Amino acid sequence: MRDDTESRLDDAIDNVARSLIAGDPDLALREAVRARVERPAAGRRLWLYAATASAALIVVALTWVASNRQPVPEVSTPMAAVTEATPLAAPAVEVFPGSSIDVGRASGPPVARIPVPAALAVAALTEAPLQIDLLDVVPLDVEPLEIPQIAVDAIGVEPLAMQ
Amino acid sequence: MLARQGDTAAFDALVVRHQGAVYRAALAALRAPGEAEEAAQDAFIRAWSRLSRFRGDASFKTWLLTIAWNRAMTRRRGLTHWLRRALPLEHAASVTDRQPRPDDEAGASELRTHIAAAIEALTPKLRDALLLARSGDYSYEEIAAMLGTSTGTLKWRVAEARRKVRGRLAALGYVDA
Repeated sequence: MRDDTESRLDDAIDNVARSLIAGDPDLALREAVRARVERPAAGRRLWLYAATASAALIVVALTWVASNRQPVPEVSTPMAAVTEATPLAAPAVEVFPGSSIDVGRASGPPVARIPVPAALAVAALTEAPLQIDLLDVVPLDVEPLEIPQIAVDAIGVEPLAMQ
Repeated sequence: MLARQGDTAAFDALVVRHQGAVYRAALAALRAPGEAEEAAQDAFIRAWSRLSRFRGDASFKTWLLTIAWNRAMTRRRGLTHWLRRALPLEHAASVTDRQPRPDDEAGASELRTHIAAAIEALTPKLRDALLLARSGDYSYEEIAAMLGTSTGTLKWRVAEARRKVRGRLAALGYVDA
């Protein structure tokens, strides 16, 4: 494991490098490993016993619960006594004269909408025109509004005086 | 494999056989003997719990070392390691002093201290590669598997680490005779 470029300094470097990790582990290492290897084995046995006991307890508990469970009460009303429900009649739709039932043609079943008496609506608009007499118009009594100076400065325009 | 079937004695034999390599790999990553032992212990426990997943694609040693390295990396990224960081350089000197070599000469201790400091200053990737490659415990293939890289990249890292250490030593006035 040596390179070709060996030298005296290289020898010294190798010697020091070797010495830096020289030595053997303490004798206690082997004992410590053995203790830790054997301890879990005993521990595993204890865990096995505990797991077996727990499983047995769970099985006993489930069996007891199953044996003491209350039966589900039967339905008291026999099927023969149940009367058949009759469907409700469809609501009648009133049709005004001059209009017709508008039936939707979109997807799904047709739906009847409330009819609008078109003739009456047109008559209400044409027979009673709005009449306003300008002499009846009275100006509102408005009090002058005070504008804060800071707002005036911000806007830069003097507001109109309100009479 | 008996250990795979839950044989703790068989696994204990594996621990005895590989504990040194596992410990030194963790020490290379963590640079602290106490943390390295904890990481090695974690690695063995994890290996034990995952023995059923070992498919035999790699050798058991490579598989075990990869687990150990990952455990050590997890620790290295942790706050506890950051707080306990920095293996004293005196430790390196003391280790080298415990293994005197015949070619040691006056001033060698100072040189070792400088080399240790230069190695510590390397980037983690270069330092890991150098320490693992020079430990003598692992082949390049095993180290590459641990680090999750190719052997070519690993060899480049080792060479680059040595080059940087040499450069640092040259700046201090150390040159090859």
